Amino acid sequence: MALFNFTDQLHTLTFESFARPVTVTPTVSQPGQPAYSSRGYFGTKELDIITEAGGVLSDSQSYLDIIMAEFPVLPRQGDTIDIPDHQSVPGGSFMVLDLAGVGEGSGLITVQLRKVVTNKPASPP
Amino acid sequence: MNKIDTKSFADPIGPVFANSFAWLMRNVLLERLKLMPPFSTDVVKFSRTNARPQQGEDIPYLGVYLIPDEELNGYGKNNIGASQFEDHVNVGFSYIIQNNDPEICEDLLDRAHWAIMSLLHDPDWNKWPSTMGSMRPRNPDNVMIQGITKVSRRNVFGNIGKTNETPVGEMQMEWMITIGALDFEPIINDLFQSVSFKAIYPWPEDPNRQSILAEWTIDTTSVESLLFRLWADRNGQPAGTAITFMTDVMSKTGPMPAGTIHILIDGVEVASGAAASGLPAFANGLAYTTSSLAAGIHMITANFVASDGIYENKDADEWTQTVI
Repeated sequence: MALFNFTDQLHTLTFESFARPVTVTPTVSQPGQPAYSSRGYFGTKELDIITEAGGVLSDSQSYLDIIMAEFPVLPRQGDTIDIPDHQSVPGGSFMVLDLAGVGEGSGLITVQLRKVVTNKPASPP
Repeated sequence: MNKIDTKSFADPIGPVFANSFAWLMRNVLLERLKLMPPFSTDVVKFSRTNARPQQGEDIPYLGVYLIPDEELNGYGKNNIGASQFEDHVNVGFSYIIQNNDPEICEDLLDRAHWAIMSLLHDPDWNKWPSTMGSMRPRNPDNVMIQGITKVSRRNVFGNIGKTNETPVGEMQMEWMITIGALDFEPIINDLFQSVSFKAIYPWPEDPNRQSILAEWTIDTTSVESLLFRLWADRNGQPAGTAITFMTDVMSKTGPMPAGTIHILIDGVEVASGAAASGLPAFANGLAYTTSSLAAGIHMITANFVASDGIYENKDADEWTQTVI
């Protein structure tokens, strides 16, 4: 038997201090439903993409950790998550890229994010 | 023996250039792509190497690289003469864009791939190297592209796990190119003007007999021949670009030819003058620069009218100049 309920006794408490507000537009997970506010841990780290002939494109991997219990319907690939600047830390607009499994076993799950960018070059008409 | 000043002119046949034909060809290929859509309008950074990590602000990005391995395979009878090679070069293309829609992203990558492939519709595609102008002018044929033996293309979207945050797509393509045979003929800095013979009979000499001795010299300069070449410093350039046509008249065996050189464009004489030094481009020739050639194909000719009584008049091989 687990001695702790991580969601209630750990994550909820720490999220009160360290999570940042986000807005989820559930285009895919709940079609037709309005955007809603939530919260999560936002993280990003440098990630290299290997290109032609061993070249490197310098990019990042960004993710949002969320408490599963706070989402009756989990976001799905294609949903939009806006993360406003918060406490002097920049955010951005992202799409849900990947979300799989049931989290890391304590009620948290990591949402892989893909940045919403200006298309370069512009898309053909 | 007369000796040519090797400090100012290393090769009596033609200048020795600093870079390989593969490098020249790659540069010309990139320059061509810079001028054509979608690259001319979309790309913010062009690159010849992937030495530095590409940054997000570099997108759209086009790199044209020399990629491993260039191979110079023996050609002809290398064990009995000057070294000759068939040059196999691999050129890699990297076109990187970003688009939130994967299907549109792939569409754009494919258009870029096909734009590059469309270069092969150019009837003069195999002359790309000649646009650099710094090839050895004595034998431009040997740096033409002989063929493309294989093209590999793939579209790649992000890192292996597809977890990167920027929706990038890269069109990766490799061309396996065969450049015509490269020859590394000896560079002779001496002029072979005469040869001396000495004959003694009997040999070994017999102290009890009177030797028969004969000596004579053959002057090789009595059989002079001219090398008269015509080339340009670029080819395939846009209209309005300055281009310099150069000539060089030399003798492998005799004194420097003297006379007048005439340069004609499409049959009309545009320059004439005494053959003179234009080092380091040429040792004994005439140059003509113009930026007024109209788009199209122009036939450049040159003739040398000797005035020294040693050499005969000579026409250079015709030069085809393409203006786009």
